[in-house]
Amino acid sequence: METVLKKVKSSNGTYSSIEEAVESKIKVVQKILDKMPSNTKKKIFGDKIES
Amino acid sequence: MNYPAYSISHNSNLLSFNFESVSDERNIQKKVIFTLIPNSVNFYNLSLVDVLPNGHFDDLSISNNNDLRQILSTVYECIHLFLNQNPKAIVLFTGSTESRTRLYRIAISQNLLEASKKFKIEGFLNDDFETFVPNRNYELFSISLKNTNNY
Repeated sequence: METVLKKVKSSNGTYSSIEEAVESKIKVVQKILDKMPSNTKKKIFGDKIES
Repeated sequence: MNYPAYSISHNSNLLSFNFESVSDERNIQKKVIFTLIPNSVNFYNLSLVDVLPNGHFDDLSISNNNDLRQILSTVYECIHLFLNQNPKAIVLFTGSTESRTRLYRIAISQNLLEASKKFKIEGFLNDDFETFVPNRNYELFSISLKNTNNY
C-alpha cells in the first residue's frame, strides 16, 4: 500500500488546497477498489464501471 | 466510542466538519471531509487532515498531542452525523500510512461491539470487502448504517 500512497501523495504530505488533499486521498481509495472483482465493483459503480 | 469527542462545527450539508485538537503544547485545527467517490453509487471517502497555520493541509503530520482517542471519537461522531444525514451512504476510509491504518483497525476492534449495534462495518482484504473481524490486516474500511439498502 505504501507504493500506492507514494504515487499520489505530495512529497511531504502537505497540500495547498483541501481539494488537492481530498483528491489525493480518493486516488488511494480508488486504487484499492480497483483490485475488486468486477461483480463487487459493479455494486459500487453500477453501470458506470470502467474496466 | 468511550472517549469524549471534541466540539464539532460543520457546513450545512454535513460534508465538511471542523474541530480543534487541544493540548498544553499546541492547538491543531482538523478537518473531516466526506467526498463522493467519482462515478460511485453511494460511496463517500472520508479524509482527515490537519489545517496548517499557513492555510495548507497535511495528512502526514504527527502532532503528539496525546489525544488520539479523543480525535478518533470525534471522527466517529462526524461519521455518525454524516450517515444520519445521508442514510444510504457508505463511508470508506484508510490511513495515510500503514501505521495509521493499523491504528484505525485497532480503534474499530476496541469499539466493535458497541459500533456494530448501529453500523455495518467491513474491511477490505484479499481484494474484496468482508464483515470486519478484529486483527485482520485490512487496507480499507467501510461503515454504513445497518438495515439500509445501500446498493
